[in-house]
Amino acid sequence: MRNQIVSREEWLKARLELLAAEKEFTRQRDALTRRRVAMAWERVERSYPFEVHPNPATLVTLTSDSRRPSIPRPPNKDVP
Amino acid sequence: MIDHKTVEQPVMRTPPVVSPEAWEAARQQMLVKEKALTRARDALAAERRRMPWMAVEKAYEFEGPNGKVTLLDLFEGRRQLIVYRAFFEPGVFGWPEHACRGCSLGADQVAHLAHLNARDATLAYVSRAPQADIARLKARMGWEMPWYTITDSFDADFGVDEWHGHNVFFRDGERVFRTYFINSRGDEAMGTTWSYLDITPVGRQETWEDSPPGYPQTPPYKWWNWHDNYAAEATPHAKWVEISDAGEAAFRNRDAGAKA
Repeated sequence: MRNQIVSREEWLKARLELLAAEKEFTRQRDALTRRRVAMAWERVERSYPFEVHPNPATLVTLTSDSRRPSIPRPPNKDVP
Repeated sequence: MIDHKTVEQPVMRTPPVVSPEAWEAARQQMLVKEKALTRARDALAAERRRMPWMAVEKAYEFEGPNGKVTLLDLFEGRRQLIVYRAFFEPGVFGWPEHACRGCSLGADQVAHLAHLNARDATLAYVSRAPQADIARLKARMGWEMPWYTITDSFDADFGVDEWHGHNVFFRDGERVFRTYFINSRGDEAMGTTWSYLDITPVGRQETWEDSPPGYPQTPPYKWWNWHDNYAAEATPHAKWVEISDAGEAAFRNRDAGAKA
């Protein structure tokens, strides 16, 4: 496989032609983003708790006694 | 960080809150347009693969962690090379602790390169800063891509002396061709395995792609691997082939069912 080999000038000309189509695509993408921003929202009614990995201090506390089972953490709104 | 509370802003007028059913209907409408955009992106990548190539006649030299290297060396033995010119040199805001902010944001979104490498493509960053500074910057920021020092007219010759940009090259033995160049907002889309593959001369090399005859292609999904397992597993694992086939079939059935 080998594409057509052209001079620097011809190559730049071909690139600029493609660039025009690429810029048009970027504008289409931006237009779609504007539509997305305007999209309706759905209210989330449930709280959906997640677990996060305990922070190092907690991990140290938990692992200091190997016989102690790990304790599930309550949902913490301060943890991103 | 901008403190949004202290900035005077008009009241944000948010979109209407609707029922889950109405929301899903709105999403489906949006999805039609999004799929059209995805097809347009694929068509652009197909055009890109048909771009003429420009022969690179000069022997460019760079400084690497182990001394002088040539443009050929930057390929690391693969056939395709993407070179991103990042601004990290005296005179750039942040020097010498940091590289240009935009380039740094870009470096932060570079995917694990094992996947790109598995498709016969190498990514390299190049800057004017000496290797000692580059090594320090990479360690500080946790960046692992190959990063070389420009020593000659490479930046001026490839349109990246005053502005960042991605140049793409193809290697046929010892001969090197420039196949593509993108900068500005084209750069902002780079970083994912797919965005890089879509600017390479041979693309993702998957069977569904519209490529000229003779271009390498294998089925999608099958070549995917864990980033630490490509070297150990040169050909697709039989079990993974089975699982990905079943997954694709289920996905297509669901899609067909949704349309019915």
